[in-house]
Amino acid sequence: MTPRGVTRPTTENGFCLNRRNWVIIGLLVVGWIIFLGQPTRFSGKLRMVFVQLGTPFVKLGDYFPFVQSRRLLARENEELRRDNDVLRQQVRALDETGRENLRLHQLLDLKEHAAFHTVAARVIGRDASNWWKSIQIDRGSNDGLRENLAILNADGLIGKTISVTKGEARVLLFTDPNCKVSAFLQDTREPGVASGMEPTLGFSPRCVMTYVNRDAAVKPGEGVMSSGLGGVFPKGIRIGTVVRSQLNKQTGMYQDVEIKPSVDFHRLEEVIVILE
Amino acid sequence: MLIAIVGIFAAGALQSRLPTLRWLGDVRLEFLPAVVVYAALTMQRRGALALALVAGLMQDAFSAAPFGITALAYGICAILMTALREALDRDLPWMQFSAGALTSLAVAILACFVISISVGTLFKMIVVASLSGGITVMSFFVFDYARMTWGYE
Repeated sequence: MTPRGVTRPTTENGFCLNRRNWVIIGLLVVGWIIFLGQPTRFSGKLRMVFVQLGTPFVKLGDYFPFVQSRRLLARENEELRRDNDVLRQQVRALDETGRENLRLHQLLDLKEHAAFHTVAARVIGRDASNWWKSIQIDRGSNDGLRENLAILNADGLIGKTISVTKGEARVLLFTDPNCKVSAFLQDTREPGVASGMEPTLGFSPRCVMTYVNRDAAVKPGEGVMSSGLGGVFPKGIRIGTVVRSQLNKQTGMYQDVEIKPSVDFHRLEEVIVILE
Repeated sequence: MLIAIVGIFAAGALQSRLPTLRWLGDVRLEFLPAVVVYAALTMQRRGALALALVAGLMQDAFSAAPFGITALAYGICAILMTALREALDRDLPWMQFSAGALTSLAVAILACFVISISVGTLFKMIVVASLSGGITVMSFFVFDYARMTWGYE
């Protein structure tokens, strides 16, 4: 026993991990569990402080010479791109509505798709960590953004907002396993839940659609669309195409369908936020 | 200290701004573990711990990670490294490499409590840790050179 107040002597190698160090580590763990480990008002405010302090550094990247020419080009084409993206997405949505029309023999409910109130945003940063997949966009609560809004571009679904400050927002990408989307297969109309997969040895992001009926005839190349259930993602947004399917290895009660996302997540520059 | 905090914000911004290395399994270069290791092996414990926490919170603020999880990992690493500093020869490149790699690995291990582990995750952990170790060795060279040139503490 080391007397109170006396530092425990180090070993020959100078190894010294005394009780004080363990107490500090314990305090760190307990402090994190109590104050930060769950989304509280304190952790939200602290995060906002760090985001607001750090965002100017992130935006500084625009002014480095090697990205400046790209930035000028992007500015020049920004307006056209935004219009183009909105129009292409509307075409896809109308295509889906057409299929719905044939199947149900009812009048089109165009309002649901045409009434999207959107705002375009620029991607200003990626996820600083290797273990989560998110992006930072240059629109925040000042532009009407809030948490759990769908984000897409002309190619399809990108993700949803998870934290918003006044001038920026963080978007959880669809390729993150924590982002779940209620989806259906375009031809067979089979529903399921689409989400990202854990990292694989492959080099491109993969996604999976689970809980698909085990008897469904799923074909490679078939489209996967959002079903609108769940309340975050509107119906008819393209998610990707089927690569292959197999029975769930653990239960065998349903199929797991591997999806190739329709969006190239490495080349995200501008996105569209669906406000309503 | 203020310069160090500004440096941390700059390193974190660079980390979130640079594209991922697709040819290496879509990994992202991490600069903050190098800063944490350098601070832990050269500064007093309080300063090193404070910088580690700021670095971790900075990384978490620019990530979808549960807020504070990286700060916890960096904080624990900073405490362990300051405690073991006498035993570590910080001038040896392999020691710097190991410290950087282990700091990065600590973040990955804590992350695995939230995300699930797969073979791909383990592969990615090894790649990320190796890259962080390499960046730490280079950072020690740069920081020591800057220290000698400008003579700051």
